Amino acid sequence: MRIKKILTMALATALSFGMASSMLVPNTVYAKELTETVSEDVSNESLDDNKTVGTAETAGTATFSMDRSQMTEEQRNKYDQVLSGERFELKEGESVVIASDDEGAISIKCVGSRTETNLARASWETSYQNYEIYKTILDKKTLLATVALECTWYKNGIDGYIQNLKGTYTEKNSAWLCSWDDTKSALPHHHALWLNLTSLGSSHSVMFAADYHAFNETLTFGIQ
Amino acid sequence: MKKYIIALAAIVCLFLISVSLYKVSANKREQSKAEEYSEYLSQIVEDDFTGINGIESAKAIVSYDKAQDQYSVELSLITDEDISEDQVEIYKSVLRKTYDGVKLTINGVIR
Repeated sequence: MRIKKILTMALATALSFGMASSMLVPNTVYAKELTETVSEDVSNESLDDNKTVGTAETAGTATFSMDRSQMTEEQRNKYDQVLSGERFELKEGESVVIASDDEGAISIKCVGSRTETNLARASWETSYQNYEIYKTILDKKTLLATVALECTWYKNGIDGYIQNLKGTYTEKNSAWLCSWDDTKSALPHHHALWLNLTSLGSSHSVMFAADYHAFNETLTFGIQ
Repeated sequence: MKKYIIALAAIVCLFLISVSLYKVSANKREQSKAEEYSEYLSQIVEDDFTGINGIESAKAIVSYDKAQDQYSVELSLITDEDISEDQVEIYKSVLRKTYDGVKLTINGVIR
């Protein structure tokens, strides 16, 4: 009888927590299909969710450890910058370690960057930046996800502004799930999106930002 | 019957506790992101102004008012030459594009 009571209470507790979390977390990461690619726009005018189907790949995982001593000097410096809350602009080919734990290091690499001028409207520009997110365990590098940023902005000195920042992630490893955080920023000169990376044992949040610089009429992408 | 009512009450209580815990946790996460983003924006402002000729250093503090959903900035510049009023107005105009509250100090004087 006592065991039955305990079992009933345990079941009730589990159900209660389950109900609470499912009601309060609209983008429950573990329920999302691995083949889904999610796009999310941040705009001063409107939010436009555009869901498309992408592909996902799987890769093996291991449980070796990596600490600072296993990073190159360049990786260590950039890792320290990120940990100290410093913003970071990656040029094509550059990478930065954003997190490190007993199971390895997570890094982001910029794999492409370009800006196009709209020929029909000379002051309108669209800038693109593509990233790859890796988990490195010893020397084994596993691609977790890719992120593509697209930013449309108006180049006009002080009166310039960012129209929108669109981020698209594609999951590449079944052990890691991505989701865009509900937190967003859409200030005239600064837009930002937060990407949550979740695995069974850990969770990380990366900010992807686009920033318009009025004095020199340029746009940069930053991560933090 | 009484047992079932107690069990039901317990479930409701646990549910409410879970909701409260989640809300507290979500607020903390949101607050943390706002603080991180404010720090990020501070660095952007400092970098932008440090790049201007005549400005030796720039120190910015960006803060976020959640209730008003507004950002404000306090920017302190050290310059090696006088900054004209026109130039000061340009600096303020740039900052006002993003920040609802702007406090600009140049060489210790509020402008």
